[in-house]
Amino acid sequence: MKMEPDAHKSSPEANTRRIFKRLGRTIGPFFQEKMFVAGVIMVGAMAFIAIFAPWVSPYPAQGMGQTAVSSCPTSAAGICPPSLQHLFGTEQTGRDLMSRIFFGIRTSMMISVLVVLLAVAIGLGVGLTAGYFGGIVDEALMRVTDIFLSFPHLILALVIVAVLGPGFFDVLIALGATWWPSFARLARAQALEIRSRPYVVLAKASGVTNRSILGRHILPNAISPLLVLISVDLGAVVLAEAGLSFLGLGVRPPTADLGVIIAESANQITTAWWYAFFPGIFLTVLVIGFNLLGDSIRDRVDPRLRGFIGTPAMNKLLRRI
Amino acid sequence: MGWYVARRALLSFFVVLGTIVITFYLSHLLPGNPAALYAGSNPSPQEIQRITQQYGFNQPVLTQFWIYITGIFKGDFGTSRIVRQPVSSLVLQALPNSLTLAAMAAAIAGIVGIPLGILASRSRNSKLDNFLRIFSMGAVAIPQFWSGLILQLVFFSGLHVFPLGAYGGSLFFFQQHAIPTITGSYVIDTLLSGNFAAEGQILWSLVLPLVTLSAYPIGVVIRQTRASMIGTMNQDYIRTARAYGVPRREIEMKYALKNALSPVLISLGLIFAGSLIGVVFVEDIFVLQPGLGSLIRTALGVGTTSTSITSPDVPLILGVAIVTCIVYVVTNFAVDMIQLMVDRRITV
Repeated sequence: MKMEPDAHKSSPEANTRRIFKRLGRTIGPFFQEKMFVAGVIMVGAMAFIAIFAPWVSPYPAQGMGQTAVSSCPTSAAGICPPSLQHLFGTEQTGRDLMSRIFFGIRTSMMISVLVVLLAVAIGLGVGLTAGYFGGIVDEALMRVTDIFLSFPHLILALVIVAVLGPGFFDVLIALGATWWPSFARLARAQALEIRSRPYVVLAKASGVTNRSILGRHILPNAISPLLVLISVDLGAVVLAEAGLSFLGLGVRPPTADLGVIIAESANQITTAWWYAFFPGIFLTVLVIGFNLLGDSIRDRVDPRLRGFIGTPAMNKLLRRI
Repeated sequence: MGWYVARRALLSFFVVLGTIVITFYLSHLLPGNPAALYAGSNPSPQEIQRITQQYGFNQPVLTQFWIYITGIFKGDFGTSRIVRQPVSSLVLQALPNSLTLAAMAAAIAGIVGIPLGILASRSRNSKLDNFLRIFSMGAVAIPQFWSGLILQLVFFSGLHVFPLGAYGGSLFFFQQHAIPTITGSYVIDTLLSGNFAAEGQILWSLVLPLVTLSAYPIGVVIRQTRASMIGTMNQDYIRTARAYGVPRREIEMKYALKNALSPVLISLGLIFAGSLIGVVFVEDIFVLQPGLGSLIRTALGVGTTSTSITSPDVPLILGVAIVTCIVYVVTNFAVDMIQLMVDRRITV
């Protein structure tokens, strides 16, 4: 690697400057892409709302516990159209819709991130083990992966809910258990390639245990392509989570969740347009933001996959890895 | 090649078997009394006793599994607790309608998406291309359970154009029109019986559901066709044809399309299988009964779009899950086999 001009100085400032410079060179080009910038803005705004929901919501405690609706002239049920007091209107029990939506974004994003983390953890474990050890271990693990890959997540969620009862952990298990196979396939492909690199062979020859080879040499080198897949998958996970909650298979009311709010609004669709409209807008923006981010990262890192990941054709491709 | 087919068939078989094992594990082996799970809310001790006997819950695990799996292969999924009918007959009643919806969505995706994809590939980065890119981006991101509601809002509440839902626009439609049951799918049966007025009404009521359902696959097909067309048009044999002075239109239609479309057609098969999930949402929102969507609602023990669950109908849910999984697996297997026949490049 070529040395930086100021590399021989080791003052902390120079070090920091160098780190920032390198970081800038990696991330900088991304910001030249409109898609990426748009994605960052959308996801950033949503993440801000999610993290600071208790403070940015106009009414506290998920919009509950306020009775301003009694002044609402149009409706007896407590549903008010948007007004200056309630920018997005209220829903049937008189709760402020905007506050509900903000807390809903919080729930949806939190679950989605946890689902992906769970899926990556399982996928890495299975994939790296299969790729590193090969042979019968590989064959057995990959066939199990195939089985899970051909399993529609909604159906698995349905079965889990039927038995365990719906709830937060339920969505987590159902989605995590169906999302890991694609991570496992990618991790396996990485491990297969890395295990024949000289430093791994050398480590093995000098008697390093399999566990520390996997942990110290293979895992750190296998993780970056997984990051691409994570960024591409997040949008789909958000959508799936909201869908399950919509059907009553996920988060339960009164917890605010975008899917739950839309489900509650379905009864009122002919009388209260704002009730269904606003949560859906936020959900769509969240998904588009994640998709833009994922697509642009993937295009830059691996242009061959353009227009492919997330499509059935991509699943086909992954199946062959 | 024979090895490949056998391997795929074996895998499909194991997926179904895996599903059965998972459902068995969840329903029989988790802590708690499985008989109570099957019996539903507030069962009497006699009923628990009867169910324990019937499903052999007091016998060794392997015997239980044997009872479970032989029952499934005989088409016996137990009796629905809520509807008090055999699960198999309920599922068989629901399946044709749902499959028809999924097939129609896949067909629409192909008919609309492929030409648009070709247009987009023809003029890259033009206004049309950019518009279609934004369209497919939105189509892939907008949740179906929301776009369905918004369509109802605009075209039913606002413009009064389309009915709110239900086949033929009313839940009593089939009491007024006598449609013989041939395939079990309303759309096909009405067509076969030659009742074109009723068919028109049914299709009219299906406009909003189908728009909801096919938006996502249309977006996918546009992007895929575009990418595939561009890839093909950059290949050597196309460049040669162009050098010979063959008109562009002829190159596209005669030489490029055949190769470019095969991956798209394959993915239409997978879209059909994937649409089954969307069908569940759409049937729920538009009250299209009978169908898998309303069956799942029933099984969860709730009315349409209500959000409280009392105690779910376990046999019914397991039945729906296993049957849906089988449909899904069979479709995937069929797609693989078609791909094998169409695309000789796959070496196995």
